[in-house]
Formats: sequence, C-alpha cells, structure tokens
Amino acid sequence: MKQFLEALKKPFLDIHDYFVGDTRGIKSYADPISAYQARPRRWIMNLIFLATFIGVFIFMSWQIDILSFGDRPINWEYTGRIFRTFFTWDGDFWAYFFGFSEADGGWTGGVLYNILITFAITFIATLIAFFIAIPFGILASHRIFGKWAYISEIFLILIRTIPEILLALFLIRLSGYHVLTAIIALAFHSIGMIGKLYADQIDGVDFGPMEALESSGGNKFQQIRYGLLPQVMPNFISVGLYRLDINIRTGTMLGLIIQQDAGIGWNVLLHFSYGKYQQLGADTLGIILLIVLVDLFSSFLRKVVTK
Amino acid sequence: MIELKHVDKVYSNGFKALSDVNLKIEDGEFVSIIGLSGAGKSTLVRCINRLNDVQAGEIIIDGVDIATLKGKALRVQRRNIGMIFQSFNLVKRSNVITNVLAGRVGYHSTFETIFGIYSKEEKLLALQSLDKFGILDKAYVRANHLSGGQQQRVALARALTQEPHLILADEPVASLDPATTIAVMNDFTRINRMGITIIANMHHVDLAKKYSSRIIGIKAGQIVFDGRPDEVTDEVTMKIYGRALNKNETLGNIDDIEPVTEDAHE
Repeated sequence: MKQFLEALKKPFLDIHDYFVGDTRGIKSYADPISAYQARPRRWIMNLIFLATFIGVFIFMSWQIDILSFGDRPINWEYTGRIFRTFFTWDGDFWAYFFGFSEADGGWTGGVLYNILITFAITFIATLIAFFIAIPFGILASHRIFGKWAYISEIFLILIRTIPEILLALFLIRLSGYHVLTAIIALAFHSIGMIGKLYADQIDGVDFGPMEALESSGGNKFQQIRYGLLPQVMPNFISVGLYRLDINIRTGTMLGLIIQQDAGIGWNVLLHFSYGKYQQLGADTLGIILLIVLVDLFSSFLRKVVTK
Repeated sequence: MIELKHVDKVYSNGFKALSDVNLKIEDGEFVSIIGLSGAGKSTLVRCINRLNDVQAGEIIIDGVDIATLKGKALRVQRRNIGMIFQSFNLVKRSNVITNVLAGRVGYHSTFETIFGIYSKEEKLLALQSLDKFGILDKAYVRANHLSGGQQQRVALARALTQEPHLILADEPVASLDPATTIAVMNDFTRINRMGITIIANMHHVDLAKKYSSRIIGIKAGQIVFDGRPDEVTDEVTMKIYGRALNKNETLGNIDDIEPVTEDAHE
C-alpha cells in the first residue's frame, strides 16, 4: 500500500523537481556539472504563469467590454469649462470655503466646518474602535489562546465583511440620517480590521516576558497586562493611526449617504448634482487638505510612539 | 595589498569610532582583529569596503584609493571584496543557488538583473563554490531549511563566487556552536590557501591565535597591537582588553573540539 502511494506521488514530485528544483535536498550530485543539469526550469513555470495572467486579463477585458469606452465621444469643450470653474479661486470661492457665503448655507454649509465634522466623525469612530478592538485582538491571538482564538478571529472576520458604506445604508433605517450612524458604521468595520492587525502584532512579539510572569505565578490576565501590553502598545497605536488615515478617506464618502450634518461628503454630492463646480473645487481642496494634515500628523505621532 | 593611511571615522552622533588608523596588509595574509565590543572592530572592517564612510584618510586597495570613490567606480572595486556577516545575511526565502549567484550581481547591469539571467559559466562557478564547502547537494533547497553552519558556508560560497581578492568577515562564527565554529574556521583557512586575503573580526582570542597569520588589537578606535599570533601574551591582552581574558573570550581547548562536517540535526 505504501509503495503504491509512493508510486502515485512520484510523477508529481518529478514535475515539482523539474520546475522548482529539489527543495527537499534529498538528491545528491556527483559533481557541479550534474548539479547544473539538474537545475530547475523556473523560467518555463514563470512563462506559463505569465501567459495565464495575460490570457485572463484579455478574456475579462473582453467580457466587461472595456473597449466600448471609445464609442462615447468626449466633449473637450465642456470638460474644459468645468475644469476652469473648478480652479477659479476668487473671492466667492474663499467665502464659501471659510463659511461666509450665505447663499451656500453660511458657516455650517462651508467647507471648513464640514471637514471639521468629517474629522470629528472619523476621530471618534477610530478611537472607539481602537479600544474595543484590544480585547478582541488579544482573544484572536493563536499564540496565546490556541484554537480558542478561532472564536474571536471568526467574529472579527464576520464584522469586517460588510463594507462601511453598505453598513451605513442599513443603519440609516435604524438610527436615521444622523452623524451617529456614520460613527457606528465606521467604528464597527474598523474593529474588525484593527482587531485582526492587533492579533498579527501580538503573534510577532517576544513571549519571554509573559513566560517569566507565568513562572512567578501570574494568571493569564496578569501575564497579558504586564508582559504583553507594554510591548505591543506602541504597535497598537501605530495600527490605530494607520486606520485613522484610512477612515478619514472613507469618512468623506460616508457624508454622501448620511446627508446633512455628516461632513463634507454631502457637499460634494450636492454640488456635483447641481453642477456647482466652483464649490466642488472648494470641497475637493478641503478634502485634500484634511487628508494631508491627518497623514502628516499620524506619521509624526507614529514616529514618536514607536521610537 | 591593502593600505590604510590616517583613517578617521566619526559617527553622526559624534562618537569617534576610529582615529588615525594606519595599516598595511600584504596579499595572502589572514588577519584577525580583536578587541572589546564597541572598540571599533566592526567599523574598521566595514570601512575597508566602504559600507561605512570615513571622514578622513586613504584606503588603498591594489593601488586604488577606495575612500573617495563613488557610484559605479566604487561598486566595481567592491565586487573584488567578499564579505561574510555574523548573521549570514542570506535571503532566507530564496534557494541556495540564487543566494550564491547574488555574488555575481556586481558583474551585471541593472537591466540584466531584472530578469535574473546568469550565464552557464556563472551557474557552474556557483555550483563549484558550493562543492568546495561540501554543500552541493543543497543547491536547490531554500536557505532557511539549512542549519547555521550550512548557512554560513552558503555565505562563504557567495563570497567566493565573486572571485574576490579579499574577504572581509564581521564576527563570522559568533552565532555558531563550537564544533561548527571549528569547521567554518577550517573553511576560512582553505579559502586563505587559495591566495585570498582574509580580514576577520574575532570575539574569541584563542581562535584568532590558532587560525590567523597576524593579529591586530584595537582599543577605543586605535590600533594598540599588531603582530604574530605567538606574540599575543597576557600582557598584550591586558593592553587590548584592559584586564586578563575572561572565560567567554576563549573557546576552551580548541584542539579537543571535533569539527562537524554534517550537522547533527540534518
């Protein structure tokens, strides 16, 4: 029976050795020449992969009809006009930007107010997720909890399967068009993403200190509190800040569906729909400024905490 | 021939690692550098191939002052200098032969390297290097499946595939067990007999005394001893280390240690 199985496996192993080489190191070569002759033909394998990718690329492009894009004529004159309005940074532009333009809803309709709202939403949501994800992340660590970690791990996978925008749409039917809806949607999804990254960080850490605490009679919680958390806290903060960077981008999108008082996204949708391209330009500038500032701030803070 | 003239090295934090180092090493010598941690052993070795820049002085290798070279000219000089590291510095996910062929990159243009194309002669050269260290059979195995001693031999084969005139070694045996240490040191001796100059940092004074033809003692960035191994007396070690030798600076009785050829756990 064993011999039969070996014979069954042999052709596959021969193919493996031909393409990838004798990775198990069981063959022996009399001299360099015979070792050279036994070299793996990786380039054939790579060529097969490359041909497959190109084939799939062409097939899919054909199926989704990419080339029909050319059928639609591009109105350069119209596009150019929009472009010019977009970049007309005159008095009206800045009045709307800083919230002095009553026609655009005053202070609460302006760009500055709304990017601050967006920032507040994402910051609160990320902060909530940062703390709630800690216990789930620790529980999802296979090196600490073994196969019990699957419970938390699967939970985390489940809650991050639903994209934030979709979740926000569902939540609107529960909590209505309100900032809290955006916060819950963002925080919920972030817990799933951050928790997973926490577990990865924990699994890459030195477990010696925890062992030392175990040897002096500490229970699991004490081991984690004194042996693990001080080690991983800088990494956790770094993960949280990275998530803030991502959430700030998603947060602008959430305004699109939560409508009033949920940040800059609603302004974008409104001005796009009514063709107010100058205001759209101001909205875009606000979003870019917000993202750049948050990125700079978080990378500075990350350097400080992980030093 | 290697000649260091008035070499100064200051780190960006203001620490003066080398001050006015003068040194002349003939072809075919096996030089060991000994000294306390932080005395400047690693800095000295890493300055010779300019992995560390120097602030002043000349480093003349085969008539070329490498201290002022830049870009391509520096890389051309570097390919004649092999280097061995304490932690081997292999790409652990690549197989052995790919690691060894990495020693040839200095002979190729960037464009050729993108596609990983090496000539048949180079592949044979790499396999011959592996054969010299008795690990030819492992040529297509992933590097992380090898033991420490085998990995260091792969690193030696990589250096040898460069066809260097000189091999620098930065604590080459510091992370190996005594039996493997002796085996790897024997490999160094064999490389030396091929006519390749070797400059190695050594943590163990007795290893340095047994294997090298010349010993340089360094203390606080200055050369305090330069001579034959049999001249290294307790007085000399007193001068280098500031105290008599500790137990951990010797390996014990080297001649009693049986070198391993095949590692036990393989």
